[in-house]
Amino acid sequence: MKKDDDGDSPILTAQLPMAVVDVLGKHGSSPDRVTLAIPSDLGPDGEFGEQWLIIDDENLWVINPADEKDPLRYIFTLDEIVDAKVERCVGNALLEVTVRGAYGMPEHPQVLLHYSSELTDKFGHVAHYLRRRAKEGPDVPVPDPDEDANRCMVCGRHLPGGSASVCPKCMQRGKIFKRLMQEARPYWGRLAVIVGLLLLGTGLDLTPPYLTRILIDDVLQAGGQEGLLLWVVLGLLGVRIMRTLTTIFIRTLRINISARFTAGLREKLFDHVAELPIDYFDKNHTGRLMTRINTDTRELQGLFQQISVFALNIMKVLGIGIILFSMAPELGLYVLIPTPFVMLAAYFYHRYMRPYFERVWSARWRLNSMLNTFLSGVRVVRAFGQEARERERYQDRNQTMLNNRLQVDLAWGKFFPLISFAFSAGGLIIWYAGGQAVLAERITLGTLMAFVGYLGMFYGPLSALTEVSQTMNRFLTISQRMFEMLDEEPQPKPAHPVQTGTLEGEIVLDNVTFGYDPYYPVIEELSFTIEPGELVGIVGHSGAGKTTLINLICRFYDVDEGAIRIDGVDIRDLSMKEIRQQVGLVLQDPYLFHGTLRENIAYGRPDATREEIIAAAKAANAHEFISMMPEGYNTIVGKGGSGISGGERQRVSIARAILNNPKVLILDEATSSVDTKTERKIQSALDELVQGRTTIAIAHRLSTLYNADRIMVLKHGRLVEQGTPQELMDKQGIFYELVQMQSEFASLEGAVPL
Amino acid sequence: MDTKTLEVEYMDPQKVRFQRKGDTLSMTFEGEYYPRVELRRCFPLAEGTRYLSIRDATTEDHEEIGILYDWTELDEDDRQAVSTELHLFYFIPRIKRVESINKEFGFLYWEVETDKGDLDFVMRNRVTHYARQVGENRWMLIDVNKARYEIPDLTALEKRDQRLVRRFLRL
Repeated sequence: MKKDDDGDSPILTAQLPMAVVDVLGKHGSSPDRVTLAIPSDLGPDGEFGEQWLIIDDENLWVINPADEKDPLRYIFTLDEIVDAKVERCVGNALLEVTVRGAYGMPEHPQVLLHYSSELTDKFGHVAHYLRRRAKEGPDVPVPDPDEDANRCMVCGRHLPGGSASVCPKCMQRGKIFKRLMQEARPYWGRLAVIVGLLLLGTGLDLTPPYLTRILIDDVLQAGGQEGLLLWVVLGLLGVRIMRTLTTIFIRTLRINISARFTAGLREKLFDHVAELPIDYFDKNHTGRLMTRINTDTRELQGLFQQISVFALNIMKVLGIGIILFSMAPELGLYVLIPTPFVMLAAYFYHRYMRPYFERVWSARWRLNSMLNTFLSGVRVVRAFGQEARERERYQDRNQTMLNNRLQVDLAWGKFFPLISFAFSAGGLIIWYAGGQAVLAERITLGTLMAFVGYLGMFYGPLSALTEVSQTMNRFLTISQRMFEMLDEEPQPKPAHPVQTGTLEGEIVLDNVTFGYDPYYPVIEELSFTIEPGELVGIVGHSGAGKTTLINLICRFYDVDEGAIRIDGVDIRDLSMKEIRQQVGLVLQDPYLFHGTLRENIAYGRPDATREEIIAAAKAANAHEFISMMPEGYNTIVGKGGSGISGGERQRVSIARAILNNPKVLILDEATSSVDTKTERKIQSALDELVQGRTTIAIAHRLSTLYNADRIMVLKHGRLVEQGTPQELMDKQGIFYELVQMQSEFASLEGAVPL
Repeated sequence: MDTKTLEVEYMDPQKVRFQRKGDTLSMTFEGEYYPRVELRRCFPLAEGTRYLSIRDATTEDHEEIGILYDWTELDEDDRQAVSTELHLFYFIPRIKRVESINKEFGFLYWEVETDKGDLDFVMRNRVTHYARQVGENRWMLIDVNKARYEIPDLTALEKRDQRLVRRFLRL
């Protein structure tokens, strides 16, 4: 896919192949009339190729530049297209259109072209554009073909999904690191202390071999200064003690900083997420957000510690290197001989050993998931008498697991001795070369001993350093992911929220258009007024926009066009707090938080008195069952709490709404997931609740709307019918049809028909 | 319930006519003309030419018209039309050679040679989910765009390629 350099004119003639330009010219068009040009990556033969879908001010073209004889495959005037859609095939998808035929009757749909799965979104937008244009005329905006490109903006590689526009390889490491340091500002002082301590620790680590050298050369040799012995040994002891102390300090401080820093970050992320608009949660499902907030911050903490270990290792390697070379340059060179081997060994460890470990993890995962499926489906297994086959499958996977485990141990058994050999071989070279130097009296015995001592400390840190780049990448990737989350725009707040006091509850929708994806409006130019205290039922087939409408009134989303007003005030000018207080919501599948029933009922008004809570529960028909429970209102529900039935949950959520005393009440399929008996109980609770409030009710069971003042029927996001239930029944329109369907269904069930 | 939906209609290959116009496949069956039909293999992995579900693509749910037990029993022209349509509908490149696999940032970057040419694609590293064993040595890889790539026979790849695949799929 190519990128545009110029944002103003999305189509550059230079991008169109000559063959395409030729065809356009031959048929009386030209590249500058083109408003949209998208290449498909599949040819007409189902192989990779290039077909261009072109839209100019008049026509839609499909051109196959590879066909020299007859490159123009299809041409339709835009005005004759009455419908367009995309359909998923396997591994690819297709675009089909329906055109107006002779006598204005729609012809049958025909396929225009296939394209690979990568381009699904783009052609989806094209199809939607064509559909809207057929309905609404030529003023519909042409989609931008470069939106949601899924290749890296910098290097053009495939993006591995997610929201980023730059691939991990091209992210600006320096920038992220700088920002990370800024986030860590409160810890700068302590970080400086750590660096100081690390330097001190390195120095202390390097001292003992040096003291050993003095011990051997100046004390233990014939004619040495005996008096020094005690002092040198005391010196060694002092270094040991100091070293122990610095280690303790470094560790405490490191854990302190990393734990506090990540806890702060976690809190910051949570605060930010709580402010984000609801559509962010549609795009990012709960699992992913949990990972971001929990796992990523935890891993970041671990990585922090690792990085400080790296810092220590780098200092050690440098320090030792400098000392070795300054003590005896010629031996220093020998030290370097095994270095490549050590690095290589460490590299092979990751390349050679890791896959074995990963295999074991995979095998364990497969084994566990098999066990999980078996245990949760054990009734099915019994019912179909398939125990033997399941046993076989389990044995099979267990065997794989065992084999993988054995392979790891085998590989490790071979690898570990080889690594140890590589490490010790370095020492042997020094013993030989150093021994000769001592014999030739080029260096002292003490120097040699010190050398061997330093050497023991040299290779370990060196091999650990091979992991630096991997760890740093991981560290920066995670940081970037978190920063991306922090950079999401929170839902806009009104600059000067209007104080309304008590609302009357009049709701006005003024020409509202909205779509979760701007190209696909779910609600279109919807206008209506709901009077204070009115009970309005909203019905329609699934996908008609009922729930979307409610999402808008609750301001979970903002309208794209038009406005929603409560008592004449645009809801965007009301503070969230105000909206939540004045608009009550009872959902189909109410959510109870972990906590007591009392806390759940008083969720919106934690200061409510016990009397108020009981009154609300009583009104919601919930008091009866709550007071019968062993722990009454103190019963803990929600995750990990005691289970209560769907109908009971629903009544608790109604009590919650009653206690909040909202002026506007929204019931979204409040009784659809319960049996008829429970429904009656909930219904009578609801009847209580709607008194004196503006109520909007979505109901799947139309019988629950019998006492609505007005019914509005939505279809494809538009209002198509409205009136009292009786008026609509007399009219015999969509509502009548829906009722007929349900009463047929109800008589099948043996339930009471409407 | 309507009993008709419970019966499977196996179509007589002699009574079916397929025709391709442009990229659209149409069909005549028992005197009825279907302007756009869709073909779906009931067992896409196991039975390449058998149990072909013929569906009316002009209806909302693409209702099934019937099943062809074996479409190779069709007359030459019809067979050609069906074969082309299936080729277009099922786009699954078969991997012949593996140039490289790189693991970075939790994703596998593949560079492969397939029967449809050289390709590169990105797959999530959760191989237990996105690499599916569909036969003894047969594998289906699913990339981040949900496109599919098939390794028809892992043991038929070159030794080096096999090692690569085994290492990254953790086999």
